[in-house]
Amino acid sequence: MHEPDLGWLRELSEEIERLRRRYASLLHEPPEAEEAPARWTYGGRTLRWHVVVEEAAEPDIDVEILPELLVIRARIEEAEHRLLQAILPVPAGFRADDAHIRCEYGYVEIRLSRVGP
Amino acid sequence: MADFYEILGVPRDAGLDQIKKAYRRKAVQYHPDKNPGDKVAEERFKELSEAYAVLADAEKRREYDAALAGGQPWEAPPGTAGGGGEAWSVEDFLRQFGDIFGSDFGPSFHRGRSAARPGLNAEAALTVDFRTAALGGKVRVALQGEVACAACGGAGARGAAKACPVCRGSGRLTGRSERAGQFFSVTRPCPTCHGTGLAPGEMCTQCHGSGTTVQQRDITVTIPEGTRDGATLRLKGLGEAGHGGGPAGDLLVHVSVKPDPEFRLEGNTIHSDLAVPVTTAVLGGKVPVRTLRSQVMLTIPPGTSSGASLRLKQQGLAGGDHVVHVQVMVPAQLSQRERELWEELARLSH
Repeated sequence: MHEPDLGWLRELSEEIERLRRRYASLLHEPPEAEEAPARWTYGGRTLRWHVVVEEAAEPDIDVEILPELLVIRARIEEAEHRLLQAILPVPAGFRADDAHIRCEYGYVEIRLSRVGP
Repeated sequence: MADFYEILGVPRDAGLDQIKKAYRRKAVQYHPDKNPGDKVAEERFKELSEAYAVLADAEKRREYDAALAGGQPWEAPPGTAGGGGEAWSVEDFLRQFGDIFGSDFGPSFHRGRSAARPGLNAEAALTVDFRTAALGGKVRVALQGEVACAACGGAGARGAAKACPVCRGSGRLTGRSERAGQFFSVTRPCPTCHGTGLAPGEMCTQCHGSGTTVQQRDITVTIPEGTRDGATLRLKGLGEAGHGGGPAGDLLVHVSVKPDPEFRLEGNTIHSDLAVPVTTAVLGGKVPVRTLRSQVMLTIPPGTSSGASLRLKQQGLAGGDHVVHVQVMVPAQLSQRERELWEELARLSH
């Protein structure tokens, strides 16, 4: 069983926070977008994002890949086309273009693999 | 044979939009997560998913309609029922569904490169001394970040810009799937123009189409009075340049305050230590005291002991006080005459 590397987790947390601040100006683009709550966990060399997109059975999910981040947008028809948006930083050492995405009831899960040491 | 139209509650000539809406409305109603332990709802949800998977797929619907009209039995192909839970790999997804232009989210969702896009926030770490933080001041910061390209004025192109033939100027390509109840798309930068939207031959040679270049800038940051250690200052519009005429991002300055050898800060109160000669401590007198802003003469009352606190009103931050902690200095060496006087004093005291 692997012992959690707290130093690495702290670095990862700081890097994610730094990238969040850097890209904060994009959070409300387009202006009608509402921020979707997103939280992350790390384990087994995988960074796992959990984005809450409300109680919608099948929202339209759009994933936009940018160099340092993934933008998840969920259009919810049942709620008069509400647009929820989450900006997920991709820290150095993780691959955005190899993301695994799973849409579940009320949330989207994104898994990013660590490629560095 | 199940009547998928009846299950979804749509007429047999219903269009895809109508089918989609009916499915979504009912799927939310009967989703197992909303009806935990309800077997009837679970079965209903399965029926809905199967009906939708067939009617939303043109080919499957044609086969189904033919079977329905002829009274023939119809068997769903394997994997027809929806239900989610499958993880999509972006690479696999793009390989399977390829790239198309635009998306169902409408023009405001994926805008072309000409659309204004705000610049990113820049960040800087700044260490300032205690007095600058307390009293305010100006500090210069050297920053590296994106500024508008001087060669093309931020346009990204040489002369009249031509659109990239692959993404038709959007700078982005989208892979999209609408199968088995999944509405899902992946957008990535166009690999031909690297997201600029410009035909490769038309790009500005300085910024390669991005409209911005990375440069070092010297910025003077105004530190407000009373800035605390760990504070973040947001300087509007001093971040990285915007794209397509969009506004610049903000500059976030994270301030660290160096400890001062003389002053300590607690809330809005300044604390400092003051060495007082023993004679002044015993007999009283006036002693010069440095405050943040100037020097004042502090009255030491007779009989002041070490550790006594004397308060200078409104000499701290934001109307707070300056508290002086008295340290009485005892002479380490005495002359013959001083020793005689201290000995006499000792005799009188007993």
